[in-house]
Amino acid sequence: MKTARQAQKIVEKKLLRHMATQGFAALASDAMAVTEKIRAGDWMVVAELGDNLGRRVGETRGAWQQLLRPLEKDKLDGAATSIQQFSDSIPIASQGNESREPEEKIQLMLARCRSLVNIASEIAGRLGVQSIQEPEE
Amino acid sequence: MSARYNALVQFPDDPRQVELVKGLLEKTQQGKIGWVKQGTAVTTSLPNGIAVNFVLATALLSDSWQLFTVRDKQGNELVRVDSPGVFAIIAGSAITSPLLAATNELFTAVHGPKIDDLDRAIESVKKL
Repeated sequence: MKTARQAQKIVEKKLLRHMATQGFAALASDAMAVTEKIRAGDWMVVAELGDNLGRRVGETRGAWQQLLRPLEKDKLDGAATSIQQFSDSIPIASQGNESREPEEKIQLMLARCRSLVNIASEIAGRLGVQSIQEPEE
Repeated sequence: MSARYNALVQFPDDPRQVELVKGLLEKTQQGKIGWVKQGTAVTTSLPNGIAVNFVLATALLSDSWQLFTVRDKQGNELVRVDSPGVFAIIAGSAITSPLLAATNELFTAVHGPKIDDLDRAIESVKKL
């Protein structure tokens, strides 16, 4: 038999895990949205979304780091570096134009965004399943 | 403190960290440490719950690493080495870090055995 306080703790834990799941899923979706803008060559929007993405990676990692496994932290740090490199590689001169960048550069930009999509999805998936598997009482 | 920061401001590496990485290199070359690829990372576990991870870098043509960590059982970082960024390369200081050099060597050794495993798999298929 659990006390009301213990039951409340369990609910809080479940809620936090659910929020974290949503946070990482949203991060993956946002990174995915950036890849669509890269493909479209909409560099003005890509620059804006890219900078925002870098900020959000740090924010999300900081908020939920107690729920992350060590390897997930490392992979997320790696993805954060990739996003930083991606942001630095966004063409400045052609911002606002829909000019075509070299194919190899676009592929690298996409790969850097995908690294965040992959790890954020992986974490969201694990946390989501764990949240379901946790006993109610 | 990360090796990248050490390299940029010329703080010496902790010799014990270098010793640890060189120890890992030696045991890997002897085949006593088995590394496993886990998505975008290559990892191994040692006795006493020590976890060693290489996070792979995003590159189209070549394999390289982005982050190297050694953690104890509690998840505390014992060693953390960031792959040198553009600034460290421009500064020319990345090569002088013994910890970075040892980590690069370890990564090369870690990548070697995978070819052997593949060769063994090919041989196994041939023998069927």
